[in-house]
Amino acid sequence: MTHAGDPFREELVALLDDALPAEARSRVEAHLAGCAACRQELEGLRRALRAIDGLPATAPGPGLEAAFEARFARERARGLRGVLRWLARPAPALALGGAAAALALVLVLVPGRGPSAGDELAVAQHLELVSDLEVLEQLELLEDLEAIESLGEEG
Amino acid sequence: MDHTEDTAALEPDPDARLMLAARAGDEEAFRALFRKHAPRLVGYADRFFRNRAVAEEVVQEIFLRVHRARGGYEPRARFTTWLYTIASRVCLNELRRRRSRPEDGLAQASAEAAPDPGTIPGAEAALAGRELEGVVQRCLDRLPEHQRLALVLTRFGEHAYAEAGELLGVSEAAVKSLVFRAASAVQQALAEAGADVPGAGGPR
Repeated sequence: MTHAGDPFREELVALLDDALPAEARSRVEAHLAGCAACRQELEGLRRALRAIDGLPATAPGPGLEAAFEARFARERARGLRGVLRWLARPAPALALGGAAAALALVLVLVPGRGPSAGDELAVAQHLELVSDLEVLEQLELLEDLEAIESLGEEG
Repeated sequence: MDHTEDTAALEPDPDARLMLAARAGDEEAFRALFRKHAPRLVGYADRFFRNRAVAEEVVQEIFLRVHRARGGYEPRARFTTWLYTIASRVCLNELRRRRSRPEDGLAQASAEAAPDPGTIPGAEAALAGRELEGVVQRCLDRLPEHQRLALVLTRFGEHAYAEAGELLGVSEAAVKSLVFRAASAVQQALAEAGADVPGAGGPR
């Protein structure tokens, strides 16, 4: 009889990691019950994983918190400057910011209330201003958030 | 998919409470999270970069990202799940950035991490803890990058295979195969170093 172990070998670490769906798990366990070679391999892999888990972790140096505090202070100053720049932007007609833009958007979107060209211009200008506000940076964060949301679903 | 039990299953998580406070503008709560999690994250980031200075830089970046993302934080999963997803993304991105800019390369750090391949003890020697760690670490340092990253994400980042796959841009099945090959290489290295005896890993 040929050794049927090979298709099962790659499942062994997943078995140890508890990462197999129930059906695959019982298939692998049934195979293990009758295959000494795979049982031996399983034990070897178990020891390898334990050795990996036991590797010492690098500890931070003493200056980490102070270094972060300095960066955090710069970050907050930058954020504040951004807000001030936005508030002081040379567009007095848009001084109401988000609220005005939201209203303008409603005017654009509500059918039967044809927006004037001025409204459209205002929306366009506002959108441009918003995109100045480190939105590009935020896009990366949104990716993070999407990944995190999907994690939450699996919860 | 809609799991209504998600919120019900949430246990009281002090980190989640701190993060909600940070979201509401409490910077002391944010600092408390940094103090609590940064040390372990340095250890985690160092698994990617094998260079403590780089790891510390990256951890600072991770917490800046956490701070910028605070407004979108919802305590749906454990806080550390959220934190390590951000951490792993920042680490992988930084690793890619450095790979594409050889002047920031990490080859030197890896060389430092594996200074003495000549001292791997013979098969007869019983391995002391430190030697065993050396064998395992050198083996990891020499793994093909994707194997190493799959192992780091699943073992030290505590990502499920599917999450690790998303982070690496490969399938869950590919992660399973990568992790298996990585573990298999370590098993082989231990066997060659004479550590292939039951319990060689020692109690931890």
